[in-house]
Amino acid sequence: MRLKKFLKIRYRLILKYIGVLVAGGGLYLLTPLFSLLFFPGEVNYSLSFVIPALIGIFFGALLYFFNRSSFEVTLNLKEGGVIVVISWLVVILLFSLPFYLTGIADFTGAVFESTSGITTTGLTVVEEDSVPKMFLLWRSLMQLLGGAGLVVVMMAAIINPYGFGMFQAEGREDQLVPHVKRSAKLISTIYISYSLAGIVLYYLAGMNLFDSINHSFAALSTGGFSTSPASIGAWDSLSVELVTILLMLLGGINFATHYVLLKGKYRLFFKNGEIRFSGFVLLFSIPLVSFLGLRGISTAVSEAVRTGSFQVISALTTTGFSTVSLAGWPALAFFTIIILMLIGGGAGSTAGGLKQFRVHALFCVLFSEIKRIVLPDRAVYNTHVWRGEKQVRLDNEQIKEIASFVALYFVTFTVGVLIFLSYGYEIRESLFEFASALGTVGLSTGITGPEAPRGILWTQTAGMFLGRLEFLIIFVSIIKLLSDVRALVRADQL
Amino acid sequence: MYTIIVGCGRTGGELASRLSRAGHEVVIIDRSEASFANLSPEFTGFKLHGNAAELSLLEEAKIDRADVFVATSDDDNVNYMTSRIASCIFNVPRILVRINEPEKEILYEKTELETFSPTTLLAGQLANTITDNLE
Amino acid sequence: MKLILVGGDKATYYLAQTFAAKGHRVVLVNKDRDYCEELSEKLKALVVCGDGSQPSVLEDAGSRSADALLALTPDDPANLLICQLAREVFSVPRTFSIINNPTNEKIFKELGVEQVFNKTTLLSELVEQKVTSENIDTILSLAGGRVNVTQVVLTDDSPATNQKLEELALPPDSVIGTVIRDEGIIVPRGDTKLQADDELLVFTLNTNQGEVLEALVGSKL
Repeated sequence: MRLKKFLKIRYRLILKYIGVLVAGGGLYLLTPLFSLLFFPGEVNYSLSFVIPALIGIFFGALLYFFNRSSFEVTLNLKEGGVIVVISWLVVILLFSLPFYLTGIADFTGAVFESTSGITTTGLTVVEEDSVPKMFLLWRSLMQLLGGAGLVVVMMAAIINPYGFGMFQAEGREDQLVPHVKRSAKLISTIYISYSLAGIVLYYLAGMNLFDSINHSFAALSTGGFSTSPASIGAWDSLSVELVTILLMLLGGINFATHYVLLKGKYRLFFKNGEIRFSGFVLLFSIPLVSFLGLRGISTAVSEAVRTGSFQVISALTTTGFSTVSLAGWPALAFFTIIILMLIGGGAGSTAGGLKQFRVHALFCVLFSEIKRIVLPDRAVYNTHVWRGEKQVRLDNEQIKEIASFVALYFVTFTVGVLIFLSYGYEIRESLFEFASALGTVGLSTGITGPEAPRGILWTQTAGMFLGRLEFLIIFVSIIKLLSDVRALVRADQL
Repeated sequence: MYTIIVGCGRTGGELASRLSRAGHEVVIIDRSEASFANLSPEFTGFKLHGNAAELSLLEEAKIDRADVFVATSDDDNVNYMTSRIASCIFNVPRILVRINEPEKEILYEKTELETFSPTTLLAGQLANTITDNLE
Repeated sequence: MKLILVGGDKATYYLAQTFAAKGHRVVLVNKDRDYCEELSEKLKALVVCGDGSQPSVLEDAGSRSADALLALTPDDPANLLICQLAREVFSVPRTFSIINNPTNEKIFKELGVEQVFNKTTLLSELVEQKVTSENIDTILSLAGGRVNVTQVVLTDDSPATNQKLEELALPPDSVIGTVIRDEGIIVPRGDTKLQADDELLVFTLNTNQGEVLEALVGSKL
């Protein structure tokens, strides 16, 4: 079959799935209306959600029904990538409409906010005090969805796409059980159960129900949107902070590892490379930040530890909640936080950053290299890393992938920081702010806000998007789209 | 249904892909990593690389949970041993065994294992087709 | 006795020779053509060249009239199949096999293989013993490695020295079979007092051998 005809068939399938995801997104836009249960007075804002919802459902359904005829075929990874990238872009635009339609933000700001939501970043251009509560709930709901991932939710719920294509494209590599649909269902179940438990815990800790719901969603998805402009710090409550810490840690763990823990295999859990690595990092950085870093700012040691632990965990899990402002922090603590933001959370979790698995693997490789020099020439050895339930051998292919990713990350990071510098910001703040965007963290030095230059906001939007989808799938999809479009448009040759 | 397949040759790979596509949980074992290339993109189960005749590997595949066990490697001896382990030690409800060498079928006569011989099946089919066409 | 030895390498030759020297009739089955030719030259035995896991080959080797079959290949699945064929198809009364992977012992026993010789376990235990202690010597390993006969020499500072047998706190399922003292052999009773330089022949299980030795000479393996 000639290429053009082949592509047409494949793209009908692709469009069909995009239709499903977009329609799903449209439906999701109706969920914030639940806030009317708490704040019935805001009913006049409903339209700003209902309209985008209808648009999404309509166009999504249209795409779906127009392309429905195709028989069930399996998608490969590249096609999955195209679906994921396009769907995410469309859904981001769709999700930004509520902010735009009510004038809470201009186009740049609206897209920024919805990107920040769905990538579970948490940076904001919105003043939490001055917007209707419905929009606060919407932000948390976006993060809830983004944490699980559009594809996972879809797979667990309705459509049965064959194969891994989309699943892997969205960044899930480890399967929990030997079938992708069941795995997706399990992930969703674990996720929802934890968030419901979180709501209860927050309520018991003294938050009102509305805030509990919002913060549980934002904490578990390691997003970081709060209902208060001062974030978690506004409650000034140790129990609230502890609940948050628990949820943040849970959110930052790979779902496959969660499954190991839930099945009761504690020893395996603690053998896991990422668990050990994060344990080590926290053990090292919490004292570093609390004692050496915050000396001079906090008076009591217990205060320093409380603040230090919270901020460190918030940064490492890339959540972005804060109990204090980071602006005046001494350099040591400040830069430690930046490093933690760059490292990030567990692979296959809701967190961002480089991902602990990669950093841990690179260190393993480092030790392995040293071993190689020390051992006799002819000695043979292997590098192993624990992942999920088993030990995986680290072969050259994987190491190359990890190294390229890390390189790409830092190149993007540098470009972003340069852009910040070109706007006149200080190096300290630039490094911090862009690391926060790229790693989908959400901590801010204050640069990000409604008054920030548009260019800065777009840079951050790009950073958040690239960081969440981990670069490569975006590049691959763009390349594929360009080449496919060219093939489709080219006049038929005989 | 939780199925374990030993042997990812062309037959094993095709079987695994079909079952996975139909929604079942599938774990496939093979001695050589390269064999997993026989799996189609629809396969979303687990791949285990190792010697199926080792108890520890079968346990890693969670054979105690298996509903179906299929021994379809190209080594009759391995098929025999693994299927017997599956039946005698783990009481897997359904066990299907591929026999490459027809004369070894005799060993399975008194067991409840379901045997399939590609040679016999194919020869039988061909013979039937030929004789049918003669009529 | 007519014995069929299937598979294996150099060791098979020596084994065959040993059996033949004791007057048994030996038949060898091996896949390797060259080795078969070598064997048939050096031994006065029937050598069949073929894959022992095939019924027709075992038939050729005269399994129907064999008294015992030993599976000696390095491949556990093959050994299992060979033994099963011998039992089920040819009704060979006794089957023996080497196994390489200790965890496979269970399935072999389930399927009726009489004796399973676990190369790995046997070797490792022998090496361990030799490396750790000079006055402890495992002489014999019976019942597939589960019962050990160990020779133990008591020294002046062994805990059992100058103790009566009934006073020793030996674990159950162990027995001191004989005591060799100054070239004389004593079959000990409860009131026998042990002395330094006594050579004890101790019967133990694999599982309590360490404890027993500890009680006698104070060192574990």
